[in-house]
Amino acid sequence: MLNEIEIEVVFINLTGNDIDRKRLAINKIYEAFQPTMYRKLRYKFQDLSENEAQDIIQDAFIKITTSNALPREAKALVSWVFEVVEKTALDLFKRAYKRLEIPLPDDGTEGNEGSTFHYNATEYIDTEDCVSKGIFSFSKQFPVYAAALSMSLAKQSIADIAIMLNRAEGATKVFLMECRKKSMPYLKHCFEQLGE
Amino acid sequence: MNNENDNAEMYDQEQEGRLRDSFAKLDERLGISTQTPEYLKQSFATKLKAATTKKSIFATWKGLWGAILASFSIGLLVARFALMPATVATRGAGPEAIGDLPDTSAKVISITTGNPEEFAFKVISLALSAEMEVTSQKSGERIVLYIKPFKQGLAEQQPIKELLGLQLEAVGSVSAVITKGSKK
Repeated sequence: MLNEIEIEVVFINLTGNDIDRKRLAINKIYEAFQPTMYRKLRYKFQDLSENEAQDIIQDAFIKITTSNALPREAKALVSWVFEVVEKTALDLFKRAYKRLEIPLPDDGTEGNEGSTFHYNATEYIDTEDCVSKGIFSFSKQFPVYAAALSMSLAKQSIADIAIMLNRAEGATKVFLMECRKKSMPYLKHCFEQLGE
Repeated sequence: MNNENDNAEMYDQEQEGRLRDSFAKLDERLGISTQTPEYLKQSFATKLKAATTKKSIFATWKGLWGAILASFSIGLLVARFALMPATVATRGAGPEAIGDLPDTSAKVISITTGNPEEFAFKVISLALSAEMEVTSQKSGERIVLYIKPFKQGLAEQQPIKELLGLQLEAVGSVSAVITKGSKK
């Protein structure tokens, strides 16, 4: 991610008239936000190949070059980038799914609350296998929750997770608790096995 | 600020460790990393350059367009003088005739923009798309465009009217004086 001074510099370069400085700013934006944006959308759209998904994310960042409504101030830069890039990327992912005739996943924020997770102890080789499969199912059902939990477990900062979720840091902490709660039905049985 | 487990009681330390390992494997399988890989930075820089260079190539056509328009504008000036009596003789009272008003009736608008040439080019492109006549004149940083005929209710003229800040009902001819300055 970028610190305040870097954001200020990127903003000045992005909103100026010099094309080389604009390129510099957009490259910087891509390098800073690609990992978070890719993680957020990749958890939702897991059925494409890595190359296809990375291409889509790159094309979405390129969209910044043609966006007419630039942010008015440096403070708004990050949320503006996420808004423009995410909107474009979602559209491109949906088109790719349609082209490949893959059914679109549900909205990753809400998940499918009505669905029940079924498991069979004989399906798993060991606890590790059970946890892997549980996490995979959880990520498919609740991609945004899973993406946030993975960032949290990887010791990424609350600020970074908050940017991905477009929430305040306090709300992000609450959301992360919710993530753990939501993951329990997918993993609890694995740890019960482990305890035996 | 690192986020520590606010409700670690849900998973114990060992369970958290297993979760972390499994998420790391899933991330790896999905191509997720915490830093942008070097090969992606390079491919993005190449794509970005290509995307922004296209615009520059387009911009170089401005000179050609200018030259073509300059040739036409001379022809138009000659034609305007040569056909003046016929124009006066055939002018009617209907709304169509308003578009044939002589130069003296042209509405003058002043536009200040960061890049007068680019702005003029946009105006010329839109005018040509709407099958209008445009005469351009450049003096230092200032560009004067004489555009006609604006007619009422023509959908194809709407974009150019919007760009020049004209009302959609505007008719007749317009002299747009485009000067360099802070953004319009």
